[in-house]
Amino acid sequence: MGKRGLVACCAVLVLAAGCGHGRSQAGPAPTMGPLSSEAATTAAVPTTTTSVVIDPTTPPATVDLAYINAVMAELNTINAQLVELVLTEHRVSLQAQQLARAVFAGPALGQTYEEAATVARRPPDDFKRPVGPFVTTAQRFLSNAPTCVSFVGPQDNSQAVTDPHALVVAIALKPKDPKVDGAALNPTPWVMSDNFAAVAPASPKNDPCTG
Amino acid sequence: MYWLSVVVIVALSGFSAAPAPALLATSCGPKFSWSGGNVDLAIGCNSGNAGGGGVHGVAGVPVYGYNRPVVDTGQMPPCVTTQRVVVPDQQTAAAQDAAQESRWQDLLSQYGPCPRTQVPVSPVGLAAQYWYQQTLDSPKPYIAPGRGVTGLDMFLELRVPLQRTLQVNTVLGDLALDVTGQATVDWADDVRSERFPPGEAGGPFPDGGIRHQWTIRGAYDVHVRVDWSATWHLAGQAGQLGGLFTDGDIPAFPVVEIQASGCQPGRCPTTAAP
Repeated sequence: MGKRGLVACCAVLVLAAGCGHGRSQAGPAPTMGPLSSEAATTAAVPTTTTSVVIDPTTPPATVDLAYINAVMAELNTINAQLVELVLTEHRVSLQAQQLARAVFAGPALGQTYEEAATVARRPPDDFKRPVGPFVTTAQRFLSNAPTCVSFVGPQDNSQAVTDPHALVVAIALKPKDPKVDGAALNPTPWVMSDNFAAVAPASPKNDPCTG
Repeated sequence: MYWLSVVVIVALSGFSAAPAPALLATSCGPKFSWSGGNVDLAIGCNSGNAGGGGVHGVAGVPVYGYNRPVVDTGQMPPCVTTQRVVVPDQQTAAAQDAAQESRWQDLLSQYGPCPRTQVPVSPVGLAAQYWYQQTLDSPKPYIAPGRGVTGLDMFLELRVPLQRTLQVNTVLGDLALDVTGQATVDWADDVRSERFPPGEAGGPFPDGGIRHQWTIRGAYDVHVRVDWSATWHLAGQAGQLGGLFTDGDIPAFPVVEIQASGCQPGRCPTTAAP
């Protein structure tokens, strides 16, 4: 299965329930909770904790993994809302389309529309209700440019489906077109443009920013 | 699944050099127009071929392929178009073409076909082609008696039937569409999207099923959207279609406040008993 085939299987979060079978390359699922935007550092003695809340709405001077994780937490939350809406309404309503366009673009948007149609017509029974967000943990950049950021890392879908599978994903983020997200549903300046499960250690050869 | 199409011999410059499988966008092909319940088929394709069929490529080598439905995200609303997938042999093309049936049903149940997109002459293809050409009635919302009062249930009437049956004759037999509308009302206060059961068209006091209380006087731009869906039956098959909506407004609907007028406690004039 090529990269596009992987996109068809697992790229878009809508069909989380059916993704990952036989393709898991990840180790244990990440334990990061939904508040992945909080990075904690702990001193030894005395025990004090400093939480740094990362603002996903404004890119830092240097885009780092912590910032990307904060962005992904927002995008995954909106995507969970999209899945929940389609499952509830049994259709891809205008509101669902707006949610999709708020967080996806390019190949990932087309795939989202297609998978949403499938879910609307033939809803899988292994979604948790309400559908919780995926938790994506960016571990390594593949590309890091103003026009496209791609990374690889584990994705935990245990909040979304009853039978979660460990996944390693490679995701490309591209700048959001503000006109597309007129209702400002997505507070971040990024959308997922391509998103697929990595079947091999990601390398520049399968960087979704360059693919 | 088969296609209303013809095998044509065209000059496919560079075509055979493309690696297989290759995705080639197609936007040509037979086009339907419905008039008086009859299908008028116009052949307008000059580069496609039927699923499982072959066209003659360079040096007369047949090229096989099938049409895969995909969503065109560049359109708003999104619509279904096709990609031409080239495969090595006729058997693969035929098998892949048949395998697209469920995908066509999934996509056409939610999105209409893009202009000039060739849809299969399958029951779902014909049903979708007909459905997405429908001009469905818009609601003409009305709230009697033309103004509202705070704190009282006001009854909205859509004044459009939300259940009907459409029938048309097709090349595959009689197509029946059981159409249902579902209303969503923006009351323009803190209730911006209230959805009512499918088929609920509201009605006047006291039994109407679409009612609302405003708490603050003002002028409210009430917006009603009806999302339409249909169950189609054709040639022994059935399925769902959606993706259409109509809407209507009551601009600046006046809501007034009525206060009881009278004397204040302790200051009422004493009425002498006769």
